[in-house]
This record gives sequence, C-alpha cells and structure tokens, in this order.
Amino acid sequence: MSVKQKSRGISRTRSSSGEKLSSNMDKWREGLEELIRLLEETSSNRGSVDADKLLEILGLVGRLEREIGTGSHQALGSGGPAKGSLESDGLLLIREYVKEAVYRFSVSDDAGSVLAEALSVARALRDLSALAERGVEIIRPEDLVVLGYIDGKPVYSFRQGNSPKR
Amino acid sequence: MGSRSTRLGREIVLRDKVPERVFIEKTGDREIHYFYWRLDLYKPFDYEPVTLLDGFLCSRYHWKGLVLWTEPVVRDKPLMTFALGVHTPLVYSRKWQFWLVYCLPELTLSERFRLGFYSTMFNALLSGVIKLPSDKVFHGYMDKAVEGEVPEEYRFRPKEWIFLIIVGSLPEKLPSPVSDRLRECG
Repeated sequence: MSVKQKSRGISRTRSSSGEKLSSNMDKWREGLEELIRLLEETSSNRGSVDADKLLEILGLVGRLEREIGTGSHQALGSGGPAKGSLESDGLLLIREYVKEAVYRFSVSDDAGSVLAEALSVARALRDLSALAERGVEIIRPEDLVVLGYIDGKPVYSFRQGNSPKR
Repeated sequence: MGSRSTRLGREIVLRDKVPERVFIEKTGDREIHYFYWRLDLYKPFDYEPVTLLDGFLCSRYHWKGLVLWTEPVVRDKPLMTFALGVHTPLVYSRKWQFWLVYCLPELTLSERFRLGFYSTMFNALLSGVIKLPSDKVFHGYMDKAVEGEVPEEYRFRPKEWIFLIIVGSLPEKLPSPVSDRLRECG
C-alpha cells in the first residue's frame, strides 16, 4: 500500500528542520497525554468534579486547537495534525463534551458521563497519532470516494491506490 | 490462531476476551447476543450486540452504525475480539476491504469523528500496518449467557442504522432488513 500523508504533507525525512519537526510532534503528543491525564483524573472522580480542572482541560484543548489553527504543525511538515483534519474534529468534539460537563456541573447534574466520552475521544486521538506515526493515512468520511453501488445506493471506500485488495 | 476450548452451544461467534455476561434476546426467529460489561472505559454499562441477518454476521458501531462482516475467519464459528479500549467488536476477517453506505449523509460531529477513526483503523488493517494477534485462544460464551432483554436504549435495531459498514467483499444481495432500510433512505 502506498500510504500518503495527506494532511501531513511533507515527509519527515526530507525536512532540514528535523529537530523542530520532532519537537512539534512531541508537543502534540505531550499535549494529548496531558489532556488524557486530566480527563482520567476528572472522569474517575465521580460525584466531585472539580471546576478548576474543567477550566484547565478547556484551556489545554484551546491551546491544542490554536496550534492546529495556526497551521504550525502543518507548515513545519511535522507529522502533526492540520486544520480541518480528523484530529481537529476530535478536539472540537472534546471541547463540546467539556462545555456540556461545565454546564452540567453548574446545575449539579452528572458531568462524569460526558467527560468519559471526552476521554474516549482523547484516547482515540492518541491512537490516531500512533497510526499516523506508522504511516497510516488518517481518513475523514469526506476522504472516501464512491467505488460502486449497492441496491442503487452509492458505496464509499478508500481511494484506489491507497487500498490494495488483500 | 487458537481454537475453542469450551463446548459450543448457540454461540454466534467465538470470542477471546471475557465479557461479564452475555444477554440473549429473542426477536421472532432471530437471536441477538449482547456482550455485556459493567464498565466501559469510565462510563457504566456496555452492551455490544452481534446477530445474524440472512446468514451475515452483524455488529453495531457507535450506536447508529450497522457493521456487516462478509468474510469472517471461521473456526467452527467466526472469531471475534473486542478492540479500541471500548469493547468495539472486531471480527477476524479474510479481507479487510471497507465499504460504507450512508443513509443520512448529515452526520453529527461525533459520528463523523468515530466514523473517521473506524475507517482509519481498517485502512491500517488493510495496509498491513496493524495486524490482529494470531496467538489468541477463542472460546464459546454460553457459560456467561442469560436470556432476557437489555435496557431499551441499548437494544440493537438492525433497521435503524444511519450508516452501514461492510467489511470484506461486497455481497451480491444485502440481508432483507438492511435492504428495507436502504430503500427508506432518500
């Protein structure tokens, strides 16, 4: 399979700013790990969600979003996610879950369940990051293309060339 | 790849990981087997259903996705594991070809993300970057089975999917409940 780094653009090996690339990738991974740690602490702390912790999580999500939004990862070809990528959707989703948790916390409702959802998204982001590191193209639903029809309805799959028939 | 070590009963699949219980729900002449855990990551309760639709093995993905496994690896029964940290059913397949049919093209943000994640995982399996372990031992699960209904919100409704995923070759004919649903789509 010829794996393309679609949203990542530049091969890691051909950049002359290797240290910067590594540093940005590390920054993304470290940010994710910190996010997961905070969400784990908050999710497992049933019944006593800490408002400061929720704000800290929102702040960290905002920082990661800004890094993607400024395109710093993409511009450096670091292998980090880009604006409009599946990863940026994931961050937005986490932000929505945490905002919902803040609201629930403010009305003394259960915030734990939505924080658990946020945690599962954060862990999925970590898995995606690991796959991307191994050269797997991260697929968004809009990356799929129509390759046939079944019962008259379009059937989507990976682009030809990216998915050898095995 | 290991084989079963328990006597088989009405199992639909063989599994490697051990659920806390398996709820067996009868709907007409169809059985749905729900693999149950009290905890899924940090949220309570997880019911992962499998059933057969016109002979095709089916599971559910992220509430609204129906997954048809058309080329499972079979050792007496299809072999299934639970992956991704949240007990997502993953059937060992001879081909990891991935097909998606939408019923409603407007997906929520959550559905878009989960679908992208799932697609990426199959892309990794298809490309051989990740492989399912080949040294697992698979067992039946009737020793964990209880008959009964699961809570309403966790019930598996093969006619209410909004996206259909087919793993393996495209079948010439879809199971009738799936075709019925597809006809309803605009």
